[in-house]
Amino acid sequence: MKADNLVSVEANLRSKLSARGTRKHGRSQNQVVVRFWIITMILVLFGLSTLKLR
Amino acid sequence: MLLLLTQLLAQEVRTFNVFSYITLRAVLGTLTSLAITFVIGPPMIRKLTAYKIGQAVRDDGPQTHLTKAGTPTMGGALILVSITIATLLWGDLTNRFVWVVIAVTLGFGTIGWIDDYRKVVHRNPKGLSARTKFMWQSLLGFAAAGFLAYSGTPAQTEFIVPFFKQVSYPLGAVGFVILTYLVIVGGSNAVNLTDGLDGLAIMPTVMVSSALGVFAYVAGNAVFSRYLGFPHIPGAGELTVFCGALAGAGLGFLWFNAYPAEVFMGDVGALALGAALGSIAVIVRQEIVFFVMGGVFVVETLSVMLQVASFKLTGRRIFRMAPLHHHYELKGWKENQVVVRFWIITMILVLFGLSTLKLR
Repeated sequence: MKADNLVSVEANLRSKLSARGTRKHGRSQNQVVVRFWIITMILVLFGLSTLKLR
Repeated sequence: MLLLLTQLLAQEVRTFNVFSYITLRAVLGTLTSLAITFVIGPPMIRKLTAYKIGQAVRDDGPQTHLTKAGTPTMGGALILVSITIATLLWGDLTNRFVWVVIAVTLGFGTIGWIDDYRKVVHRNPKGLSARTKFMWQSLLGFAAAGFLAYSGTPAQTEFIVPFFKQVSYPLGAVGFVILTYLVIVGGSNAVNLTDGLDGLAIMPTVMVSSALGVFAYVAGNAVFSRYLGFPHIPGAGELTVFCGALAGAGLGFLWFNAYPAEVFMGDVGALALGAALGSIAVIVRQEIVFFVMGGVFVVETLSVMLQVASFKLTGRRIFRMAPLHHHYELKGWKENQVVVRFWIITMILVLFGLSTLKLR
């Protein structure tokens, strides 16, 4: 019984990890990957903007 | 528009002078167009789906593409709206280059819109005839070329050779008009041919646009252009704002266009974006660098030309299917592999193009 509980807790935690959670919402693997790339690009742009905007 | 407002406010509060910097306005233009795409995108896709504005898939294409039939198209309108609003908000509206590029983009977008509308809404598989489409493209291309030739100084019509500081060829008005026409119309059709897989056309467009933004900034800046050995083109720097808006709108569109696509850009997007890139490349005098950075577009176009020529002359096909992306699909690459590998190639080409800034 305890082992079952541990498994369900682990599965719950895994599903809460961002990418997996997003996939569970019906996004395909590729959409998740590309959208995370886009978010990173925006964050990198923001980071680079600190070069000039001071 | 906001630039005018901040200039007025700067007379009272000096802090507003920060908005006179092109770099800041380019970043804000990027974020604004991105935000517009994210806000308008979902309801627009729902509308397109509700009105059944779905893509017809070529029946002689790869079999795996038949599942794409019915995916909403004409999403390019979303990109054009975002770019235009962001540029009008953050760009200098007294700058003639900004207006030329906006006019070219919206002009070619209108041609694409009519073509898409006839195909999708009127269920006319031919859309605009190839001759009519080419005639309107030529008219717009020559109009833009004529305006730039008429309004430019000699330094703005010289043909610049990458890697050589001292080598440039004076084109003259006629040579400049012909070259400009070829770059704008060629760029427009090349992006349209590349737009055959989910995300294939938009990401290279974003990358090339970002790089052209850097060239525009350098060409428009008296200090940087002299230091790097570029011709100084006063006013060209303002195109950095447009390039930023294009990159932001493109990334926002990719959010919905990534495989499996929720929306396609259609001719309204592809024709407009290619023409926009071509016109910027011409204004910042980087035609050869544009040709290199847009290598994926160039190779896709050449594959179609070679396939048609070979089939007509010898009856044999060079590629399993043209444009080139279908050839690789039929060789067994997954659609997503083709797309990401073509992106990687573009990244390398853009890096090579950017290296011409310093290596001269």
